[in-house]
Amino acid sequence: MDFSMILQCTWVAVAGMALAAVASLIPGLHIYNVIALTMVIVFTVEEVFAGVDPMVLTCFLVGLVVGFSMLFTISSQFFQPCDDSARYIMLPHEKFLFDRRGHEAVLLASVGSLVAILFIGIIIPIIGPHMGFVREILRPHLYWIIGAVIVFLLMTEWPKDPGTGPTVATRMFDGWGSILMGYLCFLLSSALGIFTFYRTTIPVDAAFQSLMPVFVGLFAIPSQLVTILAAVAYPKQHVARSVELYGEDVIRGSASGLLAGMFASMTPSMTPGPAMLLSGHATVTGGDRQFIIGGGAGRVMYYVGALLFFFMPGVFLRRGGAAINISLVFIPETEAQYYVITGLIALTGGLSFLLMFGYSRMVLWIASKVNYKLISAAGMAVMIGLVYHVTSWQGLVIMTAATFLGLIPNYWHTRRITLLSVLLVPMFLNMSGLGSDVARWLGFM
Amino acid sequence: MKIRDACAPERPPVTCPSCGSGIEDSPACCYCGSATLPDRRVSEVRLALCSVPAFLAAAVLLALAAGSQTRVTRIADLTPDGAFDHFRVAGTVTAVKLFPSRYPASGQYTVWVSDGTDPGEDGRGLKVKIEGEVFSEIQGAGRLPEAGDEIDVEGTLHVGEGFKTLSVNTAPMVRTVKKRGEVR
Repeated sequence: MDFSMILQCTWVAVAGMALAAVASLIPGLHIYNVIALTMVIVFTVEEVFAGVDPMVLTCFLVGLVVGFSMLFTISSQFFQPCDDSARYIMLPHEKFLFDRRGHEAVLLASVGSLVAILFIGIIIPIIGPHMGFVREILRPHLYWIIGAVIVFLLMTEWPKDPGTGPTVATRMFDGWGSILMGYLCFLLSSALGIFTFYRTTIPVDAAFQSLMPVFVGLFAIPSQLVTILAAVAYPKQHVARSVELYGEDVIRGSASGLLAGMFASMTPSMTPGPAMLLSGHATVTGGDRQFIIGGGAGRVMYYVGALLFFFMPGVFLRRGGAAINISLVFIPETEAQYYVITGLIALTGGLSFLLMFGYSRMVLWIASKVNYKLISAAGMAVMIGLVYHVTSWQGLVIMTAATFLGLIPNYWHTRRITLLSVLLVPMFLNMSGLGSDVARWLGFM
Repeated sequence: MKIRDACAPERPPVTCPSCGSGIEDSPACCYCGSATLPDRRVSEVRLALCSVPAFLAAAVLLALAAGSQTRVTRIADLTPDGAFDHFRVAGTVTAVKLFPSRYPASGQYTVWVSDGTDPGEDGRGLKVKIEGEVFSEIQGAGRLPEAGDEIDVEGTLHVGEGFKTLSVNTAPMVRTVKKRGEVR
């Protein structure tokens, strides 16, 4: 590949990373939403981009994905504190925030992210030629693997009530209430997913973004609403200049995260959440630090690793929203392209890691000056505008329905992970050959 | 309660490096529980230095990209084992065929390439398909190969019982090395 072309790709990848840093300030915004907007702009002013090599646009999107996967949790860390009246579980990074250690949690997550970047930049190019073989082995078994994950998610739902009701009936209701509402979330999300796959009302020209309003409604808007309604104030944060960290935490946390990320990036419809739940059990990780490090590693391995498999010669696995969107404009072909993409992932990953130190301080400064509820309200407005712009009013209708569904876990203290059946169930049914039968039975065909 | 010697020099207040709370000189913070001793902590500078391997990896990978070219494969070596993989072949165009379309960007141009190793099903060599937008782009640039040209072409191999075709995916993958009759 020409040196000038590599240089051009490098500049645009760094520009993509810079844009990701700006977009990451909006809590709850997903990278795939930003990519969707980018693609809409590209298609709207197609003539402007007519002379641009698709490889250049691809590198821009790669920089965007890497930057976002490294930085987007920082704004959530400081702009979305956990209100325990609306949540049953306080996750370790939220616990750190209330211990005045939010910045330290960011550092730990970034250590996991950096390990994933190093794994992608150093190890994957070595083991890459064998990934096609792994894919071929997994391919015929994926449907039952997804089915097993669904069973695991349902099995691990547990009663989230201390059992202090005055009567047996009250205790039964309290105990089973959250479990049953979790199962209800599962069923309704599954139906929504099948509807989205078979009879979505999204306009045809935005069909490639039919999942966008669903995900914004299920996950982003409810978390913003809960933040706006939250009644907690977290203590003034301390900017730690060092972090308590042990080799064991890095190794075990990263191993768990990388395993989860690899699994999620190779398995259709899998996301880091359930994959982390599985790998956490499988690798018996323990402690807050390992959890946070694993989260950082898993997130980057999923978003960036899944994208890398798309470019890997002999694999060309189109998994995840980024790869699907890039495939609209670019077909990966050569080893040179693969090396450029991997190199740019390592470069923008390293830069994002260095940027993180100042970025966390900046977000913390913003959080000290602006009420986090206002930031969440602004973020919510941006997302609703984005959904309307990309998918029109039909998208807003679907997003509203999904939002009601996404609020159930908050009101009933169930886990939000059951909402992921919106992808898992239709994918499992389709891969096992039952998808169209079930869709017909539900009246969607 | 600790009784301090009033004559002892004043010690600076000790704060937890993690949460910033005022603590006694203790190996663990009584508020957040984190270790306070320097040997149990990693500074931001040392963390930043950990990113150096990422930049080194980036430099190596970009250098590899700069020097990387797809290996030229003999047409005879294109077997069903390589179906759907990316290949590069070089040879002389023996024939061309244009399928014009009334719709823009949907024409098809087929060239047959021979490198002397495999005559192909009809003796014209390997069938290379240039379709749709790729065809329009190459045609617009005036780079469509003609019979007698020497070309170097890369694409996805489609091979099965009785057929072997290379599909070009992007315009830069078709390169004319020497035009017919051109002397070098």
